[in-house]
Order: sequence, then C-alpha cells, then structure tokens
Amino acid sequence: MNLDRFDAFNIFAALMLVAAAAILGTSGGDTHATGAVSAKVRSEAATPPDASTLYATAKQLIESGQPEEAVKSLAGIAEKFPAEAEAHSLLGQAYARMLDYPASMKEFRLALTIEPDYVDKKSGKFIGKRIKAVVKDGMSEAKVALEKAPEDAAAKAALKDAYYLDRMLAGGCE
Amino acid sequence: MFSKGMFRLILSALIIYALLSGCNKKVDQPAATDTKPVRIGFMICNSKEETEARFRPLTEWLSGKLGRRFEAVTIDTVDVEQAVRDGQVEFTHTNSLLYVILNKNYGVEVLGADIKGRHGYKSNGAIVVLKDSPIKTLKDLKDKRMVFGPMLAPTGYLSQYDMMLKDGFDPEEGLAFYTIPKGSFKHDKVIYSLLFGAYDAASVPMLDFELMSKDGRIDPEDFRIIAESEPIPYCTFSVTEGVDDALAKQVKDALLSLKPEDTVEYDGERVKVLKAAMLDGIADVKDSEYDPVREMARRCNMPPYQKF
Repeated sequence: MNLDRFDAFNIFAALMLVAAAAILGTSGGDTHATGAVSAKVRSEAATPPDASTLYATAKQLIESGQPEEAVKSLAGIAEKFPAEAEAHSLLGQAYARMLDYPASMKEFRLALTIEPDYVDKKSGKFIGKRIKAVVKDGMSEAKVALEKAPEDAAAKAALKDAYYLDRMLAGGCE
Repeated sequence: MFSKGMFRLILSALIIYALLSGCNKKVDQPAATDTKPVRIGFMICNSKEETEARFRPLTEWLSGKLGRRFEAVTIDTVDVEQAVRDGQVEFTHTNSLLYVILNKNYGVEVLGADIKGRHGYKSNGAIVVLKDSPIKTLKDLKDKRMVFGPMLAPTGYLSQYDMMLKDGFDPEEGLAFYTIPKGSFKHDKVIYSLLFGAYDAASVPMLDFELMSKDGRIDPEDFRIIAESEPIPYCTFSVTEGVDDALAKQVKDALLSLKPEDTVEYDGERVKVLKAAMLDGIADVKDSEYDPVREMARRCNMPPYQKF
C-alpha cells in the first residue's frame, strides 16, 4: 500500500484528535473553572474530606432555623477550600434566611462563578428560583439604601451582585 | 492486506469518532417518565377528609386533561415546607403566607389563586365581637381575652395581628390572654367560641364568616366587626423549583381554563370539579400581588422574615 502526503497528514490529524479526545474524556465534562477563580486557587483547592457530612449538617441547620450556626460551620470551609461551590451556595442560603441579602448575593455569586449549574434547570443542582427570590429582595433593599445615601459603597456592591445574578438567571453568559 | 480505499475509509471513521468524542458530554437528570405520578401537595385546610374530598376530583380532571397521572397529597400546614424541601411534591396548593415562605426559601412560583367569595381571588380577615359587646375599637381590646386562628393563617391570624400592631396595640402586651383552638375546623371553632362567650373578641377569616352565615350556621346579626383588613390573595397553586417549565405551563393553563361546567368521573359519579373544590375558578396572579402579605409578615416578625 502506497501512502501519499495526504494520507500522512490524515494519520497525523487523526492521532492528534484521538489524543485530544482522550484528554478531554478523562478530565470530565462537568467542571467549569472560569472567571474569578484563578488557576492558583483551583490548584490549591480540594474537597474537604468529610464534605458530604458537613454540607448535610449545614443544610439541616439552615432548614431547622439555625442559619447562624450553619454560617459558622461553613465559613471555615469556604475560606480553606475557596473553590467549593457548595459551601458558597449553602452560605448564600443561610444568609438569605438571616435576611442578610448583600452577604447572600455575594456568596451566590461566588457559587455561580465556580458552578454555573446552579442556574441550569436541567441540572440536579438547580436553585435558580430561590436565588431569584433573594435577588428580588436584595435588589430593592440596595436601591432603597442608595436613594438614601447615593455613595453607600456596600449598597453599590450589593446592587452589582444583584445585577450579576439577575443576568445569570436570565441565561446570560459572563 | 488493506486497499488504499479501505484504509482511507477507516481513517475517516477514526477522525469522525475523535471529533464527536471531543464534544462536551453533559449528563442531564433522567426525564420523568409519564408513569410516575405528578404530586400536588394540598395544604389541609379544615380537615384531611374535607381537603381530599375537595381536591381529588380536580387532580382526576387534570390527569384526564393533560394525559398523565396526577396525585393529590394532603399535608398538614406545618409540614408543607418539609414536603417541598424533601421533593415529596411537584406542585403545591397553600395559603398565601405559606406561598410567600416557600417562594423565598425554596423558589416555589405561583401559578394561580383560588377564586371564591366577594373579593374574587382575594380574601381578608376581621376582628369580630358580639353585637352587644362594649368593645368598639382596637384600643378597647386592652386586657380582653381573644381567640385567633392558626398562626400560619394569613386572614385568620396574620392580618388581625398586623392591624393591631399598625394601630399601636401590641397583642402580646395589651391582651389579657389569647389562644388558638386545637384540632380541625379551627376557624369555625374561633367563631363558635366567641358566639358562646368563651372570649371577648375573635380573629376571623371573612370567607369563613360569610360561608357560615350563608349556610345558616351563624346569624351575622349576632356579631359586630370592629376592624377589617385589606384583601390579599387567597389560596394559591404553585410549582416547585425543579419542575420542567413546559409541565408547569401545562398545569397552569389547565387550571386557569377550569370552568364551573367542567366535570370528571370520580368515585362512581360525575362531579363538577370546581363545585367539589368549593371554588368559583382559578385566577392568573402575579408574584408581586403577594407583596402585601410579605409586608405583613415583616411587620409581625413572622416567617420567612422572622428575626430572632
């Protein structure tokens, strides 16, 4: 069998594509390392060893009306493992129960930066509608605060987070 | 061994495979099969039996209308939040305060509100005394005994509590004593206990008051209303966070299309769906129409805005 230059090119292209497909296949299709989470943070981050128990306990605390306790248990995790989207998501939910909308929106924003599936309805992680409820209250609270004090930096930051989350909920890409 | 044509064919197949396998494969949740029932969690209003009798014909009608099985699940008022949290139901039918709680904490969204009584899809609450009572105003409630409806009842507790606070009267400090009846048919018990003199004033949902008057169980002339709240949305159908948008729309459209003449074969007889549900229809409402309930909950330090 004689191989011409076209065949040689095809063999090379096929080998490169197979290698690329193998690498993509092993890396998993469910990671979304984007935006504010730097490569350094991601490389340092790891899942806490007892993550599922920690998160289940935090969820239980939030739902049994003890969001402050949930915040205490999650704050350390979010600090030590900054790429843990679930820790930020649960912190967002806990702060929402405490009616601290700026903190809630900030945590939801961090969670979404790491894991956009929280606003993807086809994903089992979808919590978009409860984020929407927080954005509704948080946005109006920030606007009222800015009407009273137009230079209020905290209110400006909260409004910025609210608009970011609003865009994400609308399906926008960041 | 291989011809050049065969070699090129294999090579092309390999390239196509490589291209396709490089695509990002996303695994979605398994789609719900049509055989799996769609569960509607109905908040128990007066009793489990009454709620089942009211809403089972409606779920049967929905099953026929939409071609998939719907199931009525009756849930105690205090257990509704947990049922939604644990994914035990796809849709809910609750009072407006519970809707506001579920909306804030679990992303539940409104589909429609029950139409019943003189305010259409809204209802209101009142503080009622006997006609010959010396109590004329809210201030006169000072050191009096009062009976309220259940704490999560928007027009049986929340509205009245809010009216008193807005008038500068703190029920916790001003009343000599207040209580909430136990068991089923709490709103009826509130009205009867006032009528029979157990308390000086009662916190009454106007819909129940009107219904009991219409049925001849009470004579409205025996009572006097000293304060009446603004109407707020009545009981509400809503959809939980994870439900497919297309199914939610189908259910909403079906509910809004319900007419008094719509019937369903239920328990061996043909029944009128709305009549069985004791409703006049279901109205399209916006989430913002629940803002007055949210404001009341904030003022009264009630869930979901309770601060400890």
